[in-house]
Amino acid sequence: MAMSDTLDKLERTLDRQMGLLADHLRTPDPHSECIERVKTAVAQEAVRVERQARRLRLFRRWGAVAAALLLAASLGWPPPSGPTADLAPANPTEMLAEWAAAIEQSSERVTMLLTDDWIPDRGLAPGDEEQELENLLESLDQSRSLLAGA
Amino acid sequence: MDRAGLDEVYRRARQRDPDALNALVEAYGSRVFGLLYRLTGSRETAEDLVQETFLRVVRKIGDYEHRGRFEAWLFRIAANLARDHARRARRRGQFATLEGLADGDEPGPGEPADRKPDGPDRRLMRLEAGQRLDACLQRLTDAEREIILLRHFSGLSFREIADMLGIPLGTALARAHRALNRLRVVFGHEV
Repeated sequence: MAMSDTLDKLERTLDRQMGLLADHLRTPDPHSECIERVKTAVAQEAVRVERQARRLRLFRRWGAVAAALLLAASLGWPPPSGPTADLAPANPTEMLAEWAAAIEQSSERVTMLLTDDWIPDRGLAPGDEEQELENLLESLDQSRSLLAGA
Repeated sequence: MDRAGLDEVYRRARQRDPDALNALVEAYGSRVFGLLYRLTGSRETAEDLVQETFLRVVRKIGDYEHRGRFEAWLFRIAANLARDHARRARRRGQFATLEGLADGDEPGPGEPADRKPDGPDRRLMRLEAGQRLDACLQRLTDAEREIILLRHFSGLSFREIADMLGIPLGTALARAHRALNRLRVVFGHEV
C-alpha cells in the first residue's frame, strides 16, 4: 500500500513536470506531402494485403481438392501391368489414416505451391482468380483422365 | 473524434476500410511523426518511419484486439521501428543528431583552442531553448528518452507505457525521473 502510494505520488509529480516540458517538446508538423504519401502507401498496402488474404482463403478452399486430385493422379501412375504380387492383407484403419495424412500433407504442399509459386500476384480481379484456379483444377482433372486411360 | 467514433474507426480499419485507415493517419500521423522526429533526430528518417509505422498497422491490424488503447499498440510499433533504426545506425557508425544541433553545440574541427567550450552543460545553456532541449534529449539514454517522449506524444500514462514496454511501473517512473532531473539541470526553473 505504502509502495503503491509512493508510486502514485511520484507519477503525479512526474506528470506535472512533463506538463511544464510540453511546450519545449513541440515539434514541427510533418510535411503535408508526407501525410499524403503515407495515405497513398497505406491504401495500396490495404489492397495488397486484402488481395493476398482473399487468395489465401480461396486456395485453402480449393487446396484440399487439388491435393486429393494430385495424390490420386500420382497413385494411378504407372498403371498396373502384369501379375500383381501377393501382398499381405492391409489393415483398413491404418490405410485410411495413412491416406488422410497423405491428403493433408499434399494439401499443404499444394496450397504453398499455389500461393507462393504457381500464381504470382498479377493484379487479377477476385473473379479472375477464381476462374484461374478452376482452370487449373480442370487441367488436373484432365491429367487424371489421361493417366487413367494410359 | 469521441471514443465511440474512434471505436468505429478501429473496427472499420480492421476490415482495411480505406477511409478508416485514412482517418487513422489523419488522427495520429503528426504525433507519430513528432515521436519519431525526436527519437531519430532527422525529419527525413522520421517521415520514412511514419510511413513504415502505418504500413505495419495495415498488415497487423487484423491481429489487433481493441481492448485497451489503440495508441499503445500504434506507438509501440513506432518506438520499435525507431529502436531498430538506431541499432542499425550504430552498427553503421552513424549517430542521431537533431538537425541544426551541430551549430554551436560542438566546436568545429578547425576551431581555435581558445574557443574551447567550458563543459557540456555550460555549452548547452548558451543554446536557444529548442536546441538546448534537443541537445539534452540526445544526452539521455535511449530508454530514458523513449519514456519521456512516449509520455508526451502518445498521451498514454506512465502506467500504460510501462505495460506497453513490459517493464514494472517503478522502472518506468525511475527512468522518467532520471531523465527529467537531467533536463532540469539544463532548463533550471523552467521545468
